[in-house]
Amino acid sequence: MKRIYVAAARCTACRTCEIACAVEHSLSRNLSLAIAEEPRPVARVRVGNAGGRPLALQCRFCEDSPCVDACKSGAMHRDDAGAPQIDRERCVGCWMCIMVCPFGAIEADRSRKVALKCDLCAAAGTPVCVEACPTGALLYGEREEFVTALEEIR
Amino acid sequence: MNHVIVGCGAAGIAAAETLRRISPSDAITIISDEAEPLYSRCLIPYRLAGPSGPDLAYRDERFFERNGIAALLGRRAVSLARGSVRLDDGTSIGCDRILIATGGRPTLPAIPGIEKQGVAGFRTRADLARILALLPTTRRAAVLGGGCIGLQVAAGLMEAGVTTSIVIASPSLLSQVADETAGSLYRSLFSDRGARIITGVEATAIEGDDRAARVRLGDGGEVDCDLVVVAKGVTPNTECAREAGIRCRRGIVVDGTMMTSLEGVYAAGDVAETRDAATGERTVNALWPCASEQGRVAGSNMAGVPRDYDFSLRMNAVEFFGLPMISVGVVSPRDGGYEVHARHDPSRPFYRKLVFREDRLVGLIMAGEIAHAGVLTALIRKRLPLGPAKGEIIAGRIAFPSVLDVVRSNREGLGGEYADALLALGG
Repeated sequence: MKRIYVAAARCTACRTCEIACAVEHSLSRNLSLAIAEEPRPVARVRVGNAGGRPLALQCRFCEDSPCVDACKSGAMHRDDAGAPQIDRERCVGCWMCIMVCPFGAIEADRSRKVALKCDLCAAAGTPVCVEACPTGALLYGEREEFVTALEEIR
Repeated sequence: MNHVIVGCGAAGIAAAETLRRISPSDAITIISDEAEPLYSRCLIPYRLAGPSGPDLAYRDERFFERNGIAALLGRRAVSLARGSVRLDDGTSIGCDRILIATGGRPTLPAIPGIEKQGVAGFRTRADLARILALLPTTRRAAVLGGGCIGLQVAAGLMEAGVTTSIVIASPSLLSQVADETAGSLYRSLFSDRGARIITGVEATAIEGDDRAARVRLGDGGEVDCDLVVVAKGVTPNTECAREAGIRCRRGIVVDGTMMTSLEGVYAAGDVAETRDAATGERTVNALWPCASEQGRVAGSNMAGVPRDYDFSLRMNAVEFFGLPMISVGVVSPRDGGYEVHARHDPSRPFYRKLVFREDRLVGLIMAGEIAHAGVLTALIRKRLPLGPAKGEIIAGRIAFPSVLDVVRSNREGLGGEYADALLALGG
């Protein structure tokens, strides 16, 4: 399965990924309109601080996904490729997934009472955060491709 | 290989799905005493307020067909032995492996009047139907129990326009899952909306003619009502296992593969007793996330792919009247040896309590702000020594990058979810 990989050494904490993600998941999908939307569009990728070094992080698409185990409504499910995804129609906002995600990669949309997480931009080509990253810190592909890329970066 | 799964809740379904994924050709039979079992018990409270609540279906109606599962519905398993399960219609099913996922039933206190009309537990779709049928003739309700389920029922009844009293034996709300500070936040939310909350007193009788009319309290007081909902925990359905000579304490005792003391017979979910990561003690953690996970691990072992189940963990997520709370592990330590850090800001409202035992996090309450709670839950669950990350966590920096080094240095022995992620985060 294709995933988003993070070459942490290249991340400069510019947060372009966060903006691209929030806009992509806004109603208008347009930056200048999205900033005025209520409730405000929410990014599913977050840049954090790992011991003084920046790290962009979104859903890791775990194989033994604790979020799928914890979901009591069946909203968090595996798609045909085996990737955990949220069916928003079924989500009741119980926050069990937020309680168990080891990466803190699920956001609570409190106003709409639904959980939000990276959906790989519904797998429509390359996710926007990867496209937007100006330093190539985010990569989208198979594991082997990333391992090779990581060796080159080092 | 021939598998029989007794019970069709979270654990039974997770086991069946896992079995089918690993072994496309094994025979799987699910027995459920419910005619339509593919719903989520946890969603039932959402329907008290009206039919506009969420769809209760947890899997679609073609689930059995799609997965090639023989479903014996409306049937009860009355006894079992190694290699066979006997049903209430007298038939026996031979099999190689059995999973006991019979769950629990509402614990009903042995008080006079508990059998009256208008007294209900709250666990199944049938319980919901019974209560909904009583609602048109219900003006006032009494909920016995102030835990997560009791408060969900109370909130649902209040939304349905029923004047609701909550009778709680403990001194505070949510005493099993939270502390007094968190309990008092919810106490105000419920009483501000008209609920009468009675704490520190037991219900001693349910009075009335055929139908319940009032609850008598231990201090002599009374609560007038047309409906009594009992939410005082669940009792594991261990009868079949006990009769088969399987080792049980409060629940069915299982080993690290979810197998019971009887070879080839497994147990998972609200009926199983497992070791809790925070306390280290054997206990029944009758919780949806634990049930699914245990079912998945049991299913894998039944299919011949070894999986270890190390620890379960007490954890709850709730939201009432706009205030969310996540609570995990030990939240009210009673003896010494714990280090507690709590921060409370009623103006937001915000409450966070962290409970450490030496270098490990063993419990938390996060109310108001719940972001990144799972990062901490995983640290409790995996019992990781925190090192310098402890200070970060106490300072409120709990996003995953703050604990990346802890996870990295303990990567040996951590589950698959971390291995791939650490690689994906640059090794």
